[in-house]
Amino acid sequence: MWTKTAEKKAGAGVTVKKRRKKDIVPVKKSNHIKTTKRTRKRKVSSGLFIAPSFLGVLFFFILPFMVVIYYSMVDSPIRGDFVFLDNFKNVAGNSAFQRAVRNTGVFSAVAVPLAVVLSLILAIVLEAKLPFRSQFRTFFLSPLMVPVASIVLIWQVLFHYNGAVNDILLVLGADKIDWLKSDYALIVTVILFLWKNLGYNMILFMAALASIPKDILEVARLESARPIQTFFYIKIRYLSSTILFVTLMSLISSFKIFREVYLLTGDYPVDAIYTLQHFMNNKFRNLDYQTLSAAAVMMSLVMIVIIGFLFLVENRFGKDVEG
Amino acid sequence: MMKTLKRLLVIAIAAVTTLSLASCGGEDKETEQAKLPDWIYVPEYMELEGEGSYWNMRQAGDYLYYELNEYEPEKGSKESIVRRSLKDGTSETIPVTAADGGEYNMNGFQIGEDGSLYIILVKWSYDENTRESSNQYILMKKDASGNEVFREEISETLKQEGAEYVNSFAVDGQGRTYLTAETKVLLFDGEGKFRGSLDVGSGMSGWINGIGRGGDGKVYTCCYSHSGDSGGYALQEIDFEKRAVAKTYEGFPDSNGNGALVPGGENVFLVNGSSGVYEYSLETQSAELLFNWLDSDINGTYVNGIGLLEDGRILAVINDWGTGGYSVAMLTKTPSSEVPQKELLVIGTLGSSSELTAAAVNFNKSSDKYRVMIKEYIDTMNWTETSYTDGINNFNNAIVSGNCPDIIEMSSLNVEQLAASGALENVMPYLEGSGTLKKEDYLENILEGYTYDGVLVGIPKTFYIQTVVGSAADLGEEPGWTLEEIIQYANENPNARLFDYGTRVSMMQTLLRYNESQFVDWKERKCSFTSQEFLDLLEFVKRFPEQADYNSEVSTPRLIERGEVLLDQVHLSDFRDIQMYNEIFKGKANFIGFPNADGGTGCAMYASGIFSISTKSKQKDGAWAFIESYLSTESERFSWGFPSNKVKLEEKLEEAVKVETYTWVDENGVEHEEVASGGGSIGYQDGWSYEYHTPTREEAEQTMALIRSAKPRASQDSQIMSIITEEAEAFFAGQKSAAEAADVIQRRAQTYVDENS
Repeated sequence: MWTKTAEKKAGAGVTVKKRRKKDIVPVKKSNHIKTTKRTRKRKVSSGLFIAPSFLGVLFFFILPFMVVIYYSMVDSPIRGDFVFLDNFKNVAGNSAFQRAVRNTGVFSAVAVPLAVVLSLILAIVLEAKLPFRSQFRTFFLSPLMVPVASIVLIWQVLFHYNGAVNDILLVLGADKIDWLKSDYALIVTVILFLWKNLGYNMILFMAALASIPKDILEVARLESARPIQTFFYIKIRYLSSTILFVTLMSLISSFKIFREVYLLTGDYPVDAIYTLQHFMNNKFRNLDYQTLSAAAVMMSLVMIVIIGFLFLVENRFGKDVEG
Repeated sequence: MMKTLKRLLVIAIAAVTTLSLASCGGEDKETEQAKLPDWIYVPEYMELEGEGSYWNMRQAGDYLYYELNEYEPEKGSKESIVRRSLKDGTSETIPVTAADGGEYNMNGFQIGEDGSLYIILVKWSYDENTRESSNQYILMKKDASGNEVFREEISETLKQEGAEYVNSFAVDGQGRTYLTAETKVLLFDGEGKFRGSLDVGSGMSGWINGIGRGGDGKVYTCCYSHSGDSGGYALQEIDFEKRAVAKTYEGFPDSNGNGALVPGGENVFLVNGSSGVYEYSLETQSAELLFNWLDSDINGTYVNGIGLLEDGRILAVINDWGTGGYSVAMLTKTPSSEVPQKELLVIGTLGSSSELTAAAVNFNKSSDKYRVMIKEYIDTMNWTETSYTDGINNFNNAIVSGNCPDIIEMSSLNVEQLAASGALENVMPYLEGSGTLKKEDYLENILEGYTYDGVLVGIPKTFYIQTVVGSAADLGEEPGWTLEEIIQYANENPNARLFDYGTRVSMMQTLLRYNESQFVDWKERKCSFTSQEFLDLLEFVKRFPEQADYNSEVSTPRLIERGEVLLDQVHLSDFRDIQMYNEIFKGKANFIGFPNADGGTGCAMYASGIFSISTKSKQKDGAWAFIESYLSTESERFSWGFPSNKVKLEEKLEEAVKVETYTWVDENGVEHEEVASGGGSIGYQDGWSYEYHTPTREEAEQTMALIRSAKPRASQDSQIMSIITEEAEAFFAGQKSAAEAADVIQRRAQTYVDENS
């Protein structure tokens, strides 16, 4: 039977000879019923297999999110009076929220591209036959094994007003900088983020680089393509899905930097590193669940838009190498 | 088919979602469910007629024993043990020490299985030459008829064993005596002869907490043990013959730290915790709650001792702190279906107190319609370092999620936060409609202080005043001053300290308590911590030490008298309290208050005994009935503070100024009338002391004026204060300039203000 599936299976660039109408053999009805039954059985069993995960997602993600949406539209979870979009208006008009959005946006806009580009560069460098490359790989992966409390301690030792970095500055004759309580705090946070995430991203890129078909690279080399051309015209194309994944993971991680910042600087840090999660965490602590929920819903919508956009980009640039 | 399935699935999800929403915030959400246990121990009270101290009351078999101390003029006191039959109420007195014959006093007594009495007598002596005191001990046995069986001097034995004091003792089933001294157990046979000792201290912490005879006739000690997961009390079975610990039993519950061991049958001990009675099994080494005192309408904190009667009833000896009287209750296990059925309400509290329990018991006894139960959110039986914060979090979560008690005891909770969340019912309509309480009877500033956005969330029962006092000669007689004025006053007296024990943190808190609005404009959402005024404040506070010297040998009153200290922070909870300050400040003190942005009176009022009604309660009338009952009844004898009810406050004032006199007759037979002391005295380490007199009406009115001007809530925001103290530290340590520190404070505080505007 000639179907669209056959065309799909053939894949791009493969010529398939079309069958003539007379070549098509009619399928017997009994066979058709059997196939339908088998398909249904397969679907039911697939449904049963997926059910535990689906229920987990339903009860631990979807339903709680529905509750959050409900909370965002009432005056308080206790009174439960419906106020529709009032909480959203209040949140949007709150200058601390605006600052948090701006800071979170700036941090993600700076940290995420850096995390992607630097880890890609590291992966390419370590892919080359360098001495001690395995030691370097371990070195870059080691921050993943360090508990958050220790990371915070290390950063405090380094960037405290009386910390190691300021000691060095003093030795060099420069003035001390209040790294964690001035605008420099953003830089410190970006460095902390990169230090913590580069290793993981790098491993993902190294795996993706290793999976690029060697024959294509060989052909490019024989065609006298320069390394820069090979990188941009072949490797980047093959890496596009990994780049999307790494970008997404880094974006999510950038929202999670709150944990380290909170442990370093507390509930109300200097305004430069006051992020959306500070806002939400403080609202939670103050039992202001409706404001917290409205902020969470708004943040989710923005995340959905960003992730959707990234998928579109990936779809546009990486489609031709999939399959 | 698949389409139908998909549709069904979508409908199911929608239904579950809707239901979950309803359960999370719907109007049908129920409060904390109250339920009576299956069995109630119903008390039957026995009257204790006649005079007597009823001291050290204990039960054995069907008899109740207690010490009786009677004073005979010109002879002294004589001590006896009274044995009272619980069956027929008859009692007999067994003399122990005579009024004129003995230098010995009764130290304690125990009852043997055959009804014999084992008594420890003690004589205290003081050697003038060596200036040392010593105790002489006698172990005595009297048979059930009161005849002396033996009397053994045991002081030398105790000395040889290195024990100075006898802590407690027990008698086993064979009439052998076990004395505890620190970590040692001294063993005496049935004739009172010393037979050796053993040390039970290994693996234990501190002294022996208690000793007692089990239902099996063996003697057990109770100690705090470090073994187990987090430590706890353990029992040790004592082997008399081997002079050793035969076995250790872990998991013994805390019986209010007194280690009382009450046999509750074979291999079982009864333990009186503050909230209920537990049954500890030696076999399983675990304890189970037998019953809650509150379910029996008994205040557990009043229960001195318990015992098991031969018919299975439980006996409780109760000393009412409110009245000071003793009573004995015999509790019979009864199915809860047979007790009068009432509507149940739950009072939520972080930790119950004697006063709360007394209020609950009073209410339960007086109400035919409602019964309250207490739910504690701090697990006091399994205390860990996070118990307190866990308790607050659990309580807050319960309130906000709607699964909360009907009545909320507000101490240690953030009233403002809970009021903003809508969790607290407006009690004003209940107050206005009350037949017992009147709105106009309460201090206006108290009601105003607990009204948030037009909602009166609670009515405090008592309060105290905190203010700053200084010399009227320096400050004038008018209260109230500004931040600039207090700084100027300090500058004018460079050789004196502003406060004794004043540290940088405490000074910052004192100066900003009512002055924060000078730097935070909540209306305009603007902070001005970079202003010159705040920089001056930082510079001023830097003059104070980081830590106070609490080892100073000179008291604050003397330092003030010498002119070395200018001001003091005072707590006023009684009409007599201001006298001492008039004395210290040589004539008249000015209770000037904390500096205030507008120069007004900065007198702080701290309230206690506040109960709120949950907006989710289905028994709001019942909850109000409890609050009404609580506010109407008198506080316990030892409670302190001013009543927030104006009528009661006035009564307290009149009582306070009432001059009491006494008469005495001199050697010539002439009768003299003298004014009685005003209620004790206060003394300090350096000998400075003050004897209170009965407050004059003028002094009482001065206190009343402070009460009327007091502000119930400090305008200080704890978060902003925390930011200031945290960031100012770098300036105080000399690491940053005042401007740099102020800049960080400004940035952080502004974020906080923006967030909460």
